[in-house]
Amino acid sequence: MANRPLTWGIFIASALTAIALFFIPAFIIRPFHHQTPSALALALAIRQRAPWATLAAGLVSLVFALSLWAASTRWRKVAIALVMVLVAFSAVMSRLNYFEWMFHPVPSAQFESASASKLDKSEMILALRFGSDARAYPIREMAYHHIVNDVVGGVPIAVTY
Amino acid sequence: MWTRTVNGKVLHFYLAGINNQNFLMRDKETGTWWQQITGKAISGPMKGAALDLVLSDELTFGEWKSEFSNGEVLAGVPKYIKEYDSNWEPEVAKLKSRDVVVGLQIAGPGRAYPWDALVKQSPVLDRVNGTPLLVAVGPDSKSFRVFVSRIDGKDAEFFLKGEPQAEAPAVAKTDPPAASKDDPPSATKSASSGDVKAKADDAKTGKPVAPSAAPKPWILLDTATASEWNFQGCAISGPSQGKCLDRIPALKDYWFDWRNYHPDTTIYKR
Repeated sequence: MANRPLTWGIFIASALTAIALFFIPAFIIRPFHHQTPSALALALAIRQRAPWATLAAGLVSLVFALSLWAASTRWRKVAIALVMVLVAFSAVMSRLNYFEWMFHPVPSAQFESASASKLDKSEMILALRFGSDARAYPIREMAYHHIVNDVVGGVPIAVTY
Repeated sequence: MWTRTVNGKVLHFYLAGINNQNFLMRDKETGTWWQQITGKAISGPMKGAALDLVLSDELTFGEWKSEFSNGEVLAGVPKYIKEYDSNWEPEVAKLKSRDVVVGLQIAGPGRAYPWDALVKQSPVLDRVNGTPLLVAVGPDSKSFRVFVSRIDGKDAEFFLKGEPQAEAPAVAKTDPPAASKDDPPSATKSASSGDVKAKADDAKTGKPVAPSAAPKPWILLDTATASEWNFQGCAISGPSQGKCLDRIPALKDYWFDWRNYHPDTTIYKR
């Protein structure tokens, strides 16, 4: 780093920015932990901007990584490569909704008639009715999927659990 | 349940985060974040907006079917049907994540005791994976201990003595279950002679027990030997005097946390 300290500085700063744009919100909104309102607001604001921000910071770090590459010693090349892998990981993850890896969405809600359902009569369900349209959402299914987008009696609703 | 039309725009929600054990949704149309429990937009372009609540019921399928025989039921997604948990999710529905439980694990799946139930029912007798247990909330209604409810290898039952100074020990020895079951606690007050004798017994054994002047003395009786036991699990008078019950480690925890680390846990209920 003795040579071209400014180039190294910009590379490191842009790479750390790209990495932080994914890891800071991911750390704040990790499950089973308390989130303060301000931390949550920060996490969501970052997450909102992360798709383009990681790309921008990632491109800057890539440009500077390339310009540093040729003159770098072998271990510095390894370090640059590892940092760029993290930058790429951060940019990809900022675009993916990893929460849906844990809680699989319902692609399109399918229904069966009450008489055809094999549910035990003691199973708990969430029920609603619009006009003559009555629907039941078994809690066992909702506890797994958590959200179902549906239209009942012409009214678009979100069933959540 | 919420309507998903906001300012004339129909939104499609997906799960996109978590906030203090309650999930966050995002809508595909605007990318706004919504808190599931409140239906409010907390971040993003529609921040400040709120979803309208839809009247819904939580019913058994049997009840609902009797009312709406022509209704429709959400079918399981074939790919995930096997993962719908049949054992503990319905029980989870009855416990809130921040409810406090006492959790323990002996040779198998864990067991969780809702704290409220323990305070009301203490001492609780239970059997977990073959081991008879005594879960006791102490005289202060805050401390708790879990014991193996066996005396000399034999299963035993315990109950709270109505008032420790209420009966002369001789009476307690002859017929403790009857005294407890038939007499409401308030009806078992008696002469101070028993009080004096109980104190003498305490002094003899040297076990620290609640002094008789304390507002809520706390003594357990066992049905097998009719001995008196203190909150340390040691018999302070009667045939078992000097013996102590084996202890079981237990953890007071939030339900969500206990369940997180003991996903196959069962829940005590009565």
